[in-house]
Amino acid sequence: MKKAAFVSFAACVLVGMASAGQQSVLDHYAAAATAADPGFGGFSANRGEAFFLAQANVNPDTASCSSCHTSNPRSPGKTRAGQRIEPMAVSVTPDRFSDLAKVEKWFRRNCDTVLKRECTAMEKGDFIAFMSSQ
Amino acid sequence: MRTSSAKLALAAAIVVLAACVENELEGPSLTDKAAAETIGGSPGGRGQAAVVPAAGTAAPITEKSGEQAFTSECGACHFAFPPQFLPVRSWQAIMAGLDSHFGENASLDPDTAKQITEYLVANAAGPGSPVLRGLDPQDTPLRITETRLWNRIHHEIRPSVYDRSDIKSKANCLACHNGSGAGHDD
Repeated sequence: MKKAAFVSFAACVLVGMASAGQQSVLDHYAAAATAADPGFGGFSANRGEAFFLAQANVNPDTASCSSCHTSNPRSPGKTRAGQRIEPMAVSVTPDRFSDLAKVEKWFRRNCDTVLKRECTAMEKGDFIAFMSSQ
Repeated sequence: MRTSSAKLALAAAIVVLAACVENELEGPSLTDKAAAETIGGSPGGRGQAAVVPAAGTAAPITEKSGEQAFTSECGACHFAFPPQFLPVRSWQAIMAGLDSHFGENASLDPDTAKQITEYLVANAAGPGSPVLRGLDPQDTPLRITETRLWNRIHHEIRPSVYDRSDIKSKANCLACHNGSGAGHDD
C-alpha cells in the first residue's frame, strides 16, 4: 500500500503533476514520436527549453517563441497586437496543454509563423515537458 | 441596519437582473453598441440577415454562437474589432486568408471559420454606413485603419504614439479607448 502510494507520487513528480488531459496530450505525441523514430527515448524538458528560447530569426516580427511569450514561461506574454497571453507554465496556468485540438491549433499556427514549417511530435512533446516543469 | 442591508441587497439584485435582461434584449455588447453609435449607423444589418427561424429551430443560437466564436478566436490575439467597421467584402477576404494573416498563421478549422464568417457578414457595414462613404466599390480594405473614416477620426494622433511599448499597434484600440466608444485616456 505504502509502495503503491510512493510510486503514484513519484509518477506525478516525474510528469510534473500532469492532469488527465495533459497526460493524454503527451501520450498522443509520444506515440507519434515513436512512430517517427522507434528509438524515441522520451521527452526532454531541457530540449524543450532550448527550443522555446531559440532565436530562429525566420520571421523578423516573431523571431522566437519568446518574442511573444517572453523568456520567462511564468510571466504573461503579449501578442503583436497587444493582447495579453496567459503564462505558458502549467504551474501558473494549470489548464494548459490539456485539450489536444487547441494544442494542435496553436502549434500549427505558431510553428508556421515562427519557423515556416511544421513542428515534429518530439518538439511538441519537449515543449510541453518544459512548460510542465515550470 | 438589517433593513438597510436588505434594501441594498435587493437593489443590487435588481441592478444585476436589469443588466442581464438588457443584455438579452440588446444582444450586442456595450462595446459593439457604443461603436455603432460612434459611427452613426445601425449595427449593419444585425438581425436583418438572421434567417427567421421556424419554431424549434436553432437559428438565433447559431448567430449567438457565431459571436462567441468570433470573440474567443479572434479576440485571443487582438481586440475583437466591431464587424460594422468594415464592409462584407473585407471580412470575406480576411477570413479567406487566415493562413497568412498580417504576418501570422491564424488558420482555423473550417467549421469555426464558416461560423465566424457568417457572423461578420451579417454584421458588417451596411448600406448608409459612414464606413462606406468615400470607399471605392472595388476597394477592399483589410484593416480598419485603412478606411477613410478611421483616418479622419485619428488624424491628430502622432505616429510615434503607436510605437509605444504599451500600445505597440494601431490595432490595439483599447490602449486608448475604454470600450465605451468615446474618448481616450491620454
